[in-house]
Amino acid sequence: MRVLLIEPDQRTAHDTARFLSKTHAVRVAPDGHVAIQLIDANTPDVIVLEPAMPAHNGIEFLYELRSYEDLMSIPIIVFSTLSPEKFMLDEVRQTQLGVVQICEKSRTSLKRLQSILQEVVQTPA
Amino acid sequence: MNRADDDRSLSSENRLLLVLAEELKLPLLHVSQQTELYEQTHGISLDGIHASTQHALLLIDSYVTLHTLRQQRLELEPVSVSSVLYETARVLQPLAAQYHCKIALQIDGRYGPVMSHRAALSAALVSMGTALITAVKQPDQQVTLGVHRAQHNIVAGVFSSTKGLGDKVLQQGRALYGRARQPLQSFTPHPAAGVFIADDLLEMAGTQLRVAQHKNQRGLATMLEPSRQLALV
Repeated sequence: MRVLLIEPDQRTAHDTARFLSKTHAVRVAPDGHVAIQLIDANTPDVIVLEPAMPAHNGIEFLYELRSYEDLMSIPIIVFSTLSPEKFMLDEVRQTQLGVVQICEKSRTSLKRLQSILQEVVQTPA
Repeated sequence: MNRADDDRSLSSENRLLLVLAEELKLPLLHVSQQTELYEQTHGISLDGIHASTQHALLLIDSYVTLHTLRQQRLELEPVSVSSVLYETARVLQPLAAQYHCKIALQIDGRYGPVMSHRAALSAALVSMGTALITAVKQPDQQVTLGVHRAQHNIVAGVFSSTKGLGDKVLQQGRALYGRARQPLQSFTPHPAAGVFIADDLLEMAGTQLRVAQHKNQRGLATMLEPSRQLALV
């Protein structure tokens, strides 16, 4: 499975990508701008997104992604240091933006993230 | 200025603590993720380090939630207490496993919604659970997330079969706050901070933290009022 990890923190990006790469093909983008370029080059099966990004806010990135018809069906897993109420994604907005799961990093191990990725891909859209 | 107003205007010290708490999450996450990566690569378990970082992260999360909620005027709403307990058990499970402690969920019967605030109640139960799990010193002990009916209320909390543990943990937490009127040097910061946070969260949600009994186990609990909105339906 092709996973695009959008993570601005270099250390977290490195460790998460290395852990997931045992089971998935992982590419890393530090921000939304690079993410769009990587998506255009090779569309991922799933995106793992840290919405707390510099410059290009993660929620804005989601709106942008949903505005491109060919990219609007990619499932998104939000994997964040922030608690869900901080980025104000209610259930309606979550569905509209294609967010299939919200995970707080402090409560979600990398092993758990790995199995969530598996579940997401196995769930029919 | 009353206490509620006072809570809503963060002092510069509190702001500093909040920023510090948020910033501490990242290095702790690095430690936690690197232990997982090491385990995956070398097949060697680093449970102890993982447990300590998870404990710190849960405490920081609850502290940040406390401050976030302090900035808002909390509206009580009907909350499904069984679903909050279920979610709390899920969050505490990895920490409990690393402390060789079993988590049990005891929701006997149907309780319906109670008047509370979901985020405050949930963070309070996680804090109380973290305090009890880390205070249990013997392996293979059980920490129970339970709910039962009292005469007028519904009692929900975290209980342990270890004798006197709930009382001790609550006393330590209250000593930190000064409510128990104990001299400052008598408190040990561990596991008192979690109780201190839970105490404040529950107070904001219009209820109190107290020691309670649940099926021969004692622990920390709160009394919740059944939602009257449902009773009218």
